[in-house]
Amino acid sequence: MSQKKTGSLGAREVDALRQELEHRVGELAPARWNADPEDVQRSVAKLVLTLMEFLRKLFEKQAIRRMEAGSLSPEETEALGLALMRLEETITSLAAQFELSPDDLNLDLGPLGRLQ
Amino acid sequence: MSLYVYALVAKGPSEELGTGMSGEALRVVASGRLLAVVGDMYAPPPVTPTALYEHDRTIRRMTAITDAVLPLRFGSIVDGELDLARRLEPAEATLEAALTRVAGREQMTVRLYERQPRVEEDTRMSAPPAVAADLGPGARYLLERRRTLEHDPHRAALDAVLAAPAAFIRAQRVESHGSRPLIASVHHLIERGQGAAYAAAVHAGTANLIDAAVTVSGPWPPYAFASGELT
Amino acid sequence: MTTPSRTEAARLLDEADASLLDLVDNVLTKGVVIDGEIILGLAGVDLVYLRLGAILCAADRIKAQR
Repeated sequence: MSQKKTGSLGAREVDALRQELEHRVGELAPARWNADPEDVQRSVAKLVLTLMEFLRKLFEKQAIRRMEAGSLSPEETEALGLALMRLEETITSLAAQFELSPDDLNLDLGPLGRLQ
Repeated sequence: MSLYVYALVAKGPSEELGTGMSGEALRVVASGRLLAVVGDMYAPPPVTPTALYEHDRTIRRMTAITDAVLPLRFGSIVDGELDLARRLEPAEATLEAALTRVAGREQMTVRLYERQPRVEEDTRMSAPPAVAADLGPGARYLLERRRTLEHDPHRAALDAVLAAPAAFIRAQRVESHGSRPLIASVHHLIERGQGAAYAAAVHAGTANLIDAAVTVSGPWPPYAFASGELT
Repeated sequence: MTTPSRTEAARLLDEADASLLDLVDNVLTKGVVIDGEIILGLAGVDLVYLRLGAILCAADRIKAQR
């Protein structure tokens, strides 16, 4: 198996990949090297918020689908929309508190890809 | 004496294993129901390009002499065979399943990048939806979210990357990224030997994308398919 | 277990060309992880919700096909 690469790559692209990896690899030095309880808290927060974000996207997709299908009353649409809006705000502000970017919360479902 | 663990294999290779990154002799040890390719190591390897290349080279040689190879992360050192067994045991069934999945297969990676300019995006986004003035904030929010999701400029590009090589895909892993212009990385598990055809399919299927560009690399040993919970 | 320290990895990445970056991605951020008391401890939860996610997503897709 000899590795090849096709497609051209400019400096901006290489820098973006470098930045992404710096972020990823930076997360790999696990909390046990650094007894700082904040690191552990951050890891837990990340797990919880990632799950919340996953559910938010799922509910949002379902809500939009039902709205388009006309199977929601105006009151239901309004209530769902408000709830989802508040959920998004909550997740965003909690993530910011733990210095988590939106990308940190994107759940990788393996072969099922991302829920987009 | 510590053991550096390179990979798990399904069958002990019948050919010479050769040497690992420190020139140490490789051997296969049994760990529960699993087999691991290990080398004796006195000290952890430094994280240098050479060490990383040697780790990859060793794993590639394993793929040349046996069908199913599940790479371990760089720097996987255990105290000995008992320590290895202790660590692997909780995940044994998952690892066996992963080995079955990667047997006879290799990994290709596509990276998706934004390409400027995106002049068109503004015109698309600015088309105002026909929204009744008396909608509450919740309903307006949902409509706006629908518009955002529909006009996602990356969606079409990602769909093209996933669809173009469909015939080759045995497993898939998608990672989205925040560091622009990098959008996403897609890792596909394909049958061994199909790498060139896969790359040609991806390039052909993405040639007409106006706001995205791709690079294809591989084949790689199946690094991205070594983690547990892939369905 | 040797997980690279932040400085080792940062140094490596600073000087890396495109193909080394691809290699780093594969060997440092992927592959089977057999280490990490805390990571494994949290990973138990991680794996549970990944499975949940897979089931929910599959259900979502089945609905879409109907």
